[in-house]
Amino acid sequence: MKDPYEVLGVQKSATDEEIKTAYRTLAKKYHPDNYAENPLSDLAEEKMREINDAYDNIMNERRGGQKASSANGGAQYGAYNGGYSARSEFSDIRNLISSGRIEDAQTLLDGVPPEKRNGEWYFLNGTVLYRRGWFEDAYTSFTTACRLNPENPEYRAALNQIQKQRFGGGYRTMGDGASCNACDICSGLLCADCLCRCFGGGC
Amino acid sequence: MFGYVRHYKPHMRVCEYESYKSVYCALCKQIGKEYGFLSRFTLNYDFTFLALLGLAVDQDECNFEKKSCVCNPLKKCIYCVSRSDVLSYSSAISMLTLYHKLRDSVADSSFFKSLVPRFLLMLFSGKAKKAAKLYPVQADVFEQCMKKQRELEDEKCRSIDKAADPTALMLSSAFEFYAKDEASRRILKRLGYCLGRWVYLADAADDLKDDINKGNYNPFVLAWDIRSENDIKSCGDRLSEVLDMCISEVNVAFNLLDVQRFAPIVENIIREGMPSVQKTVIFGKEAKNERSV
Repeated sequence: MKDPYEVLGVQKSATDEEIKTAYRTLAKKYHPDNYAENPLSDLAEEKMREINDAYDNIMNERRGGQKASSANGGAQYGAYNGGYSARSEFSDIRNLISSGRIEDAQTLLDGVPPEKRNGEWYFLNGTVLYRRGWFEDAYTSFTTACRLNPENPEYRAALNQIQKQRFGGGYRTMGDGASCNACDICSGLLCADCLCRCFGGGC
Repeated sequence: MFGYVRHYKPHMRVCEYESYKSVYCALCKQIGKEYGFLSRFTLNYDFTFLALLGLAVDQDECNFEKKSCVCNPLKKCIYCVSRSDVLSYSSAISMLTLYHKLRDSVADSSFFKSLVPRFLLMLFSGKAKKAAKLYPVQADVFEQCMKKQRELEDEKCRSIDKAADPTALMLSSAFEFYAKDEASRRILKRLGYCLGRWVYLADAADDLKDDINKGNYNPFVLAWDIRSENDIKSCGDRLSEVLDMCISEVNVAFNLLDVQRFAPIVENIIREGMPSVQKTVIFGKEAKNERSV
């Protein structure tokens, strides 16, 4: 198992407060919301688990074996479960997507006749396109899905995610979604730089 | 590739800038060593990024040495020294890309205008063959993608996604080379794809004005029905959205990568350098909030 301090990028002598801050920064970076629909979401979940475990370990150790969990650390960043809608007309396609067989999923989707293409079809089509990196068509498809089923939370979440990224939210604030100025970027970079230094990188 | 993947110097620490430069100089030296003095001048920032990321994920140690500059004997440069094949690989990719770019301009321009690229092509095709021999997998992918690109342009493809696909796949395969395991392979492929997409679309946005005037192929012109220069101005925000989406994806992919060194430099390029280039490309030089030094 990796050294929990190394995982969080802090020194062994760091104060509880520093550890909390480091944990929060990393948890924000790998937050499942940033990886919704992303083909790399499983890797992000793994990172998230690693961070949560490291934080719990350090806190347990410091409290002399007392049980602490990342849930008490101020905010819980759990794994995101998109969850399928209760009834799915295209469960075979959903299975293909979740097992990463994007091309097969695309073939099946293309085979659905136009009159049978409902909100879910557009949502799944958008998901497949997004995973391939065809972001423009994916955006159009998610928009159509939301127009056909305005109150479906799954489709809405996908559209929101892509909209956030299109307005720079994805990288400028690392998922904050709030507005951001040069100072924020600067301080963000400084933080990132400090973290890297502890990992042994740098010049 | 066209030199868009740049650093943003004002927000770089001095030591970061020097490390970045040392990679640039080392790559320049490597290209000179393997492909001759003239090839040195083909080096641009995109390939520096390719080398930088390769060195960033490389397990081998990476050192620096100070030696006299190859182009200017009065100057001393810091060179990044690594035992890995990252620099040699980036040089080869640089030659392959140059070769395809020249072939493209020969095919695109009239006889008289194509004389210069024709001459350069003669000069560099032997070197490109050498590079292709060293890295046949990438050479194959590049060849196929360029062919596909040409077909898409000939059929006047109206889809932005389709038009960007060949360049994206090219970079995807270029970055995949650095993969150590299945997880890093997936990350690097995704990163390369989205970066290639950004490079292609940033270039298309840059050429919008020219392409409208000359009637050349441009995916934005066809997809959004842009007819005049006024139309270009009004679609600036839309262009930003399309390109921001790519940067955002490059960024989240990079966050997952296990990096040994240079992380702040790569982050500077992705989060500040590329957005700044993108701004200049879309809104022109005046809009840029930095002064050239």
